[in-house]
Amino acid sequence: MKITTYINDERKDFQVEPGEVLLDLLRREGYTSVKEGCKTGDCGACMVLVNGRAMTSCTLFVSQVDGKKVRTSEGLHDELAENLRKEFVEVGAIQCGFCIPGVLVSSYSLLTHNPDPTEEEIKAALDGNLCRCTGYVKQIEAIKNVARDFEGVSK
Amino acid sequence: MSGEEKEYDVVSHSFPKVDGEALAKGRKVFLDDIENSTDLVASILTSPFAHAQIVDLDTTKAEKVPGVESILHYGNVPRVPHTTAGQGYPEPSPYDAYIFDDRVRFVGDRVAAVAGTSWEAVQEGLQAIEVEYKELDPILDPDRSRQSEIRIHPEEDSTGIYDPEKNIAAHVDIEVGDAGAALADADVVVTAKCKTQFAQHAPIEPHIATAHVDEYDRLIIRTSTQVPFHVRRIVSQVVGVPIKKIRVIKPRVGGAFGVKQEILLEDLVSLFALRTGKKVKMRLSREEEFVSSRTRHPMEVEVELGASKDGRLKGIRMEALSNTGAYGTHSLTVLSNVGSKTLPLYNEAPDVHFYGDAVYTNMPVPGAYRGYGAPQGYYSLEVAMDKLAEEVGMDPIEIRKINHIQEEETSPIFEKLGEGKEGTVQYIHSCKLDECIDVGAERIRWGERGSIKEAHDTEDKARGFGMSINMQGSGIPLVDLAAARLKLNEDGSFNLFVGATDLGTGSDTVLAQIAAETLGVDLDNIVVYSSDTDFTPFDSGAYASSTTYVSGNAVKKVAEDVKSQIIDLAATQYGADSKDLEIEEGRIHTPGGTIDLSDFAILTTSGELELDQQQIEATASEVPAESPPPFAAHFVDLEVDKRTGEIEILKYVAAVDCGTAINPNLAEGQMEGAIVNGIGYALTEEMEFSNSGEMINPSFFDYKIPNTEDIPEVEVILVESEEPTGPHGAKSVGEIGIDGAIPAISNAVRDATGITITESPFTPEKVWKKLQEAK
Amino acid sequence: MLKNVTEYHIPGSLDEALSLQDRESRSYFIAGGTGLALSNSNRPVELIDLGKLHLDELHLEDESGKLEIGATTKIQQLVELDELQDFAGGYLANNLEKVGSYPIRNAGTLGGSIVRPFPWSDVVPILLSLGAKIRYFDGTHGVRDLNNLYSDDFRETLRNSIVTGIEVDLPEVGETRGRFYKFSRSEFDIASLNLGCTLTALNGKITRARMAVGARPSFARRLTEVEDFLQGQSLENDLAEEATEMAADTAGVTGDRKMSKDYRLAQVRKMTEEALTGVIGDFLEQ
Repeated sequence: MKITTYINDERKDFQVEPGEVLLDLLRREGYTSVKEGCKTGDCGACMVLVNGRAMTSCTLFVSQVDGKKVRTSEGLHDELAENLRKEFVEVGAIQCGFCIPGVLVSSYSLLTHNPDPTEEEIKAALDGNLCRCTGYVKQIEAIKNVARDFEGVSK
Repeated sequence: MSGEEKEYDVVSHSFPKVDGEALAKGRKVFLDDIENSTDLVASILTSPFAHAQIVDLDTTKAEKVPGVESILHYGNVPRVPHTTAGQGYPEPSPYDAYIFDDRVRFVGDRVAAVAGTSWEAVQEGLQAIEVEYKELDPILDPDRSRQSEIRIHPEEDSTGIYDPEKNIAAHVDIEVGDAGAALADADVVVTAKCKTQFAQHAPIEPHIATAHVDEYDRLIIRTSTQVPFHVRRIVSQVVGVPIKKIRVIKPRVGGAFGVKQEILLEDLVSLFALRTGKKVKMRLSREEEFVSSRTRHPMEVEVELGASKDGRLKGIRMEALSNTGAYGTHSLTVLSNVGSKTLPLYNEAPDVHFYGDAVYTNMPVPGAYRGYGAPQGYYSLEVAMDKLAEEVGMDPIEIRKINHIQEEETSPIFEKLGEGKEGTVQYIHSCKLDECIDVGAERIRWGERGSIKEAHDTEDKARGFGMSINMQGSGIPLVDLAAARLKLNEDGSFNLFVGATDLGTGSDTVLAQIAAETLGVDLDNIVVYSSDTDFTPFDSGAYASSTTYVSGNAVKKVAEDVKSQIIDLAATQYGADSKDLEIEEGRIHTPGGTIDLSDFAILTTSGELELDQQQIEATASEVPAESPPPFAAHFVDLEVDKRTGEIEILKYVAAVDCGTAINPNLAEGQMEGAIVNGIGYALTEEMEFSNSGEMINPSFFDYKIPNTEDIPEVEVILVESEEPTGPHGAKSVGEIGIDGAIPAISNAVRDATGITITESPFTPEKVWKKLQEAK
Repeated sequence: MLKNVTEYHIPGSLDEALSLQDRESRSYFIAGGTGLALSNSNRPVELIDLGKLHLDELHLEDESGKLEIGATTKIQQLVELDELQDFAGGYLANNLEKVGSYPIRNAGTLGGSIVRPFPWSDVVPILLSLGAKIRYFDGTHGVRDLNNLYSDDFRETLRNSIVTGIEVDLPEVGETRGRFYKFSRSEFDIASLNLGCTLTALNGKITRARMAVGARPSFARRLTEVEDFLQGQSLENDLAEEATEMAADTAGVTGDRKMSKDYRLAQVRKMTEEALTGVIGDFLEQ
């Protein structure tokens, strides 16, 4: 089937197999920040925003994003995204980095909806992103730091 | 010696990782991104049986599947006994593995592999392979295995197996003094026998490798590995291509923790590339990663401690039974480490006996995993120490303080027991374990625990405090080799080439910091290139907590060499004496004035001046004579729900002496990650198996590693010492953080409830059952 | 990847959606897609997307306590919706947050969570303990008690119908409060046992009780004996003790690899006791 999606603000028309999952399409099309870590919706390495909502792209059919906006980690460009990246690097929240694009999508999604989250809210927003290297300690710290300096981005 | 405070410009500072920005931006740095599309992809057909003979294997139908290009199985590949362990040559692991064999030894063992033009074609091809198995009785339990008539490795060409008749892959027995007599004479004797489970490393990036043959008939392998040089050697050995024809390149690695210290895909992907002439990619799915890659050795360890009435240890007996699964990869060395990384800690005991077996079973294959036997050993040892404290009426902290090793002391275990063979004599030059204990105790409020418990305990809830102390090592003495090469560029920057392997740990950054500090230049003038067997000098690889200490010393040496070359050349150029020159903050100070290194560097390659044009560069090697242990104290404050048996960790504190923390943020990160990994190991992670040996929870859906909401408040404190043999005073920090969680949590549960949990993971039901029994 | 899927339909009406179902049952309805995408099944050849049927509407009549939620409403929407924060004392919104992870709740729908026969579902016992009914369309619109969800005849009906939503009728008078407990190995895990209970009280008396237990490990069920016992009683703490034994006796739990039968029973007791003392405590505090 043919679908039209808006990936990172760019209109894209694809001929797809309707039973294909979004993760496979995105990686094939070169959006390789979207990682495959489990393909069961459990690790969050393939996290993307669909119409602004964080979802694991391995659990969505390509057909479901027809007409929708998809944003991948490499498509996050604004000040909030850059601040998050900078802070993650700065505090040492990145070790191997494989989970990081997905973690950034979730962090970005959290701070756009809730610019001043509590620690509990940060943990809840990242509960679908597994990281085996950092123990999450510095990731949570980085998000707190960005939130403190960030006055909110209008959506 | 330790204790003096040194001022550093680059080390001891938390610089951002040199690869941080690329990773944060999600750039194409992992292998599946670099090689997003290859000519062929390939997968493995695995055994559905725990133990079987392959009677017949027919690929006729599979070969006809459109898109299938090559099929490998025992009938068409060389039979070369080898080990999949990426260890230094000659490996201490038995040669008991084959690319393919006509016998399968665990559910998930290799049967055949198919390469094709798409994953779908490969799947179809795998399904079309007809295999006739003759099922054999599986042995799933190590103790039964030792007594069984059934042999798991009856083949005649395997070598290095300790006792193939009894399915014993490896055996260790060392004794210092007479532990039996010491225990018999002791005022107090306590024992602890604890059992650990099959657990998985679970890096978020599963194993992946690609291979192709280039225009000059060289085999180019890219692989997410901890051991590029061992990959090159082992692929050469089993595939039959000379080392000179192989180049191994490591991209960014998406987590490893020991599971990528193993040659799991590289032999197959190489054979496919050689046979088809095409670029081939292999990648494990998460399920395959669980079922067919590697695990931690499950063990049963019994510790018997004898002490005087005042709590001084007189004798220790430690017995380990290790389940090494279907193959003996790392069987001897992990077993050795159960004793060698734990027993020297309590050098107060003059008489020590350590012995045990690593036994084959028809279960998945344990290998190297962060901690490497030490967590299993510390579980029983530290539980026993708490029992002893109780017996003699001492605080758990105090009894440890009077028994643990101190600076300038040694333990005979260091000499008796190394990595699978005799060890080396070693004295401790840096140990701030007492400071670690004191600061950790303060942060967890150890002194107030009585009143805290009193204030919080209810009929249903019990608060408890527990601790454990640990040591690890820093590399493998007289075995590891690390080398580094450094060259000066015209702008005063340097290329640093290291065989060392950054797994996400930040070793590229740490090694660059060591180079910059030694040279007297800024960190951003060091350009690191690592882990490419054609271009970087040899390094054993990233394991055994070796990189900062061993590879770091190689980098320090090479930087000293290059620095003295620069100074000598500058001295000649400016007519001064070398000893009067110094490089600081990127400037060369001479008696006649100061010149920027960048201005001088351009001269070294230019013909316009009188000095000889030359490439300033050097290579240095490091073979460590010692393996200075880092030390740590872990503390847990938790609450047990007596009605459910649930354990809620309220706070976790760990203080570590890793020498100089070259990069404090990254050192903390190693500890934090290891602690949370350890908490998962202690509480929720367990590979579960059916009665026929099949793993029944091979997914993150059903194998629970901690997520953000599972973690307690974690506080890490770096208690820095100055290790005189280390680069700028550094020791290791990669593994030690995982040693403490199981014993500290177990001890805290005992403090809360009086029950001792002797089997990990500490599931609520296990705790509940013990509580019911104790009623 | 569902590799045999060749057709993708987006029907504009319920009738059209039903008519697209084929006789061999190789066409599948999708709402959130989550469950089906994970199945990697070779069976589906057609997907019927329910996304354009406007089944994501929510009606709440504050006065009567009647709530209707469309089947394709995402779980996370229900967690966040302002209208639901006070419904039954926040019971629905607060407890749906225990379902899956944040991204899974963003994709997964209410209807999908009900229709897929997962015995560990948290959504089902949460709804059961509100006394929810299920709305479906099989050519005509029907409503049936959610408690019949796993009965054979209803599953047969569902095979040829579309779940369009759920409805909850809280008693028009009185306050409703509840407690839901989920026992799992880690925070992001399916339940090894879950139990929910709501009580409606008026003038110190329980006018309605709803209690359900799931992951027994079999499918969730209402504990009607306990409900009958509680209804009409005065709000007193000692109710919990008797109800607890009754819950243990009637929950029908067994053992599996995650929990032995004894342990599961002990947890049913604990959850029941805590739920009842908790809710009764809420009322008595007022």
